[in-house]
Amino acid sequence: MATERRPVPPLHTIYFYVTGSCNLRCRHCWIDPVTESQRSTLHLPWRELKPIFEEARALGLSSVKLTGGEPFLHPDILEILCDLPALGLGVRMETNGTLIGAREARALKDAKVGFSISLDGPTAEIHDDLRNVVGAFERTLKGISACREEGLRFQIICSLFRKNSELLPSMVELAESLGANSLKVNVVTSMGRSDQMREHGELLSLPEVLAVRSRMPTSNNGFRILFDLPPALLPLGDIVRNGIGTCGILGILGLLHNGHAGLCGIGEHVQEMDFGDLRNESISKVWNQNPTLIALREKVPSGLQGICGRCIFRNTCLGKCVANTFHAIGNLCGAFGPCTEAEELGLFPEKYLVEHRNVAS
Amino acid sequence: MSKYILNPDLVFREDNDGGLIFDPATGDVQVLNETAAFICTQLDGTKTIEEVASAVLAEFEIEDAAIGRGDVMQFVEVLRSRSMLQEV
Repeated sequence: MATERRPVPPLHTIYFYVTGSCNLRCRHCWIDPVTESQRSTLHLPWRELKPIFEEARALGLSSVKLTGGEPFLHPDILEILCDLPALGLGVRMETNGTLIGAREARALKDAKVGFSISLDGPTAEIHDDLRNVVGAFERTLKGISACREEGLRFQIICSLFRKNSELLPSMVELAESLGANSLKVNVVTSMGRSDQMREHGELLSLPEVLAVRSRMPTSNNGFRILFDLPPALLPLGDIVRNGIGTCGILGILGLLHNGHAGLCGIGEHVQEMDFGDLRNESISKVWNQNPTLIALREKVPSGLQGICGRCIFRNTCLGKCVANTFHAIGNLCGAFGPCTEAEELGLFPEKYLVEHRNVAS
Repeated sequence: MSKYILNPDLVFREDNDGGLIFDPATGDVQVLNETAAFICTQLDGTKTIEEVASAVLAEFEIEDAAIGRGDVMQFVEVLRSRSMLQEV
């Protein structure tokens, strides 16, 4: 069957990399932001970026995810949190929580932000080791406390590596006690700064990750526990309870801290995935005409290769993370690394291998 | 009484936690909970819907038979309305 020319889908979500700076020095960060001393050069005034969001509404924009770097380092963050909902946009945020005080918590509440806070271990020893800043754990707990004062619910995100792999039950207890509504476990993979962690044996192998997952429940008295793995590598019970999960890449555009558009956030590191400065170029033009985005729409999911092309979840998982795959192997349609590895190790469930009739030539 | 099988163009997968119905033509996947997956296993062309409902009531030890049968009928109707069943 010939490759189809897909219609341009709505631009549902902008991943807004608010700033390129961070107050932590996380050893696993894939963005690799600079530290505070350089931060004045790593963000743009909100007034220069706001028109991009105003224009994007006509493309179907309905939500914005604020990430970074650490979003609360942007001097206009409170204005951003005020303006985006006023534009009719839902807002989500990923934050390390260390800069949340009463004022910030109130802003999150007023903007009805759904947010997640990174916490990597039940003790300062574990968390600060990965975040690479002494005192980070205490500062994050203080930020969480400010959120609780406002009655906010949030998700805790825990980055899984060797040191905390036996401590997840304690993390579940801690997250519940802190008032979180769920715990999401992200597996640290070799990308950006974490390449060094791999060299030092700090990352878990795929079989180790799957073993950790198998020892964990999916929920604990209603408290949800989510593992960020491709659906084919999750127990079916996880999918029944939490859904298949998809990154929605066909409706997402990254807005980098320098005002450039990109495929999710990798435009920061991969020149080919930098779609140009949206302060000088219309976001409508980029969304409708960028060759990479057009290719993405034509080839994903029907042109996904390898194990992803034969997976029952091909059309919903969409290769799990095409940005990650492109960063790793330079191929948007390549199979997702962990799934390929699972296949090679005989760990990919055969029951999920099917023949798709809709296949790009 | 009519008897049904899942549309043979579809692919059904299951384990103890639930099941999936995959349409190779569209790539769509329907996720089924444990009960729905069990119902699909019972739609083998040998049982009436009433018999399928009885099997579900027994398997899951459902005490309120009226509600249990109603739920089964409703699910079967959803499958039928989506052309996911074939009468034998």
